[in-house]
Amino acid sequence: MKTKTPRLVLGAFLAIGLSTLVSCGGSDSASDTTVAGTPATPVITVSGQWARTSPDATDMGAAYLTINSDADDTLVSAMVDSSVAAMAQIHEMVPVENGMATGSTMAGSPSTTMDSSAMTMKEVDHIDIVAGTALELKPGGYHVMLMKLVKPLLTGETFKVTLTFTKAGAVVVDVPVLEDAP
Amino acid sequence: MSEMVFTTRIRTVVIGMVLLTSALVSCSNSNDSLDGYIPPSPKNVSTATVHEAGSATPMSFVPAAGEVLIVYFGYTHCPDLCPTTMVAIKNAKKKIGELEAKVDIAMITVDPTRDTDEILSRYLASFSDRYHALVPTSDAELRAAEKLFQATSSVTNVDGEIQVVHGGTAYVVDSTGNVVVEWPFGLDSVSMAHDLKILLTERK
Ligand SMILES: [Cu+2]
Repeated sequence: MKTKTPRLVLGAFLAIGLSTLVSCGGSDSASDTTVAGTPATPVITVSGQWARTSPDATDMGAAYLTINSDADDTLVSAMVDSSVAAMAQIHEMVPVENGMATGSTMAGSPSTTMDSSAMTMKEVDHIDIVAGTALELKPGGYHVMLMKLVKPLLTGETFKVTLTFTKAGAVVVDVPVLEDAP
Repeated sequence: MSEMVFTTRIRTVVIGMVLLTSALVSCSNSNDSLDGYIPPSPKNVSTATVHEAGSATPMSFVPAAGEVLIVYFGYTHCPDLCPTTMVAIKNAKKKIGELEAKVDIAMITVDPTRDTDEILSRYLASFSDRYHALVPTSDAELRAAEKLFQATSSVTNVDGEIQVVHGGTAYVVDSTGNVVVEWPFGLDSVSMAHDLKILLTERK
């Protein structure tokens, strides 16, 4: 076969993601943030966190990270300081049938051509974390959406994101600004 | 009854055409295979006409001989797919040395209400020295271009929030005006560089 289907590419993408996880799994990694819990509270480990450098003329941003927990928990919110962005939300990229989103069309008629890659982002109010299974927030999947950035995110800067879990509570992560995934 | 026979005959012809096409693709790929997706039927985009920022005339979607044009449908308020792909393209260009000069980039905004000529130009300058900021001046202009690429998009207002739908694909056009390879979202810069090298050397 001389052509690759998007599914194969997706498979490769997942494989790359898994190998990244393996390399990030060591507890000696300086960027890991572990919250020690009592026996009743899950121990959450966040690794591989980063946010994309702002392209010029933009005021939206995205942060990515991987969450591991030793017990089931639920991620319910992400927050940033108001000095970084007006608001943070947890978003997911979702495929869209025929390029149509629900709602009233603003800019004329939507196109009717077939495009299986059509996607849009939606806010999610929670993500279930399964014990022992890494949850990746990564491009094309979940992201922490940073809305109305106060100033552009510059490469090398760091800011804090507070993740809140139903059982583990708040987990604060230092997020470095990088041009591309680490 | 005769209808069924007719249908079967058409199906046979179609299967024959598909086999023939894949045989042709295999031949043209004899040196090395592309990592991206090859459109099953040729897509010629040479008739696309989209207004270019700072220019009174629409830009040509047919690159010079020996060059390629990467076309992307996106918008600047896009925090995830668009910058991921634009950075991958930027990094792919870094990986191919001097051949980089033969790669042109055009981004067509699917959100022309918010993306002005100035905003889209500044956005693209963050990723490349050589770019075309294309802001459709009418809905018809955007839809006509999308039809040629078989791309799709929509901008809708959902409870006061602007929701944009777009495909994550980057299209690589050669000097015949054909889409030679499509890069689905998630294809990395190594694969893009691999494809660019083939297109700019073995097949120019
Ligand atoms: Cu988002």
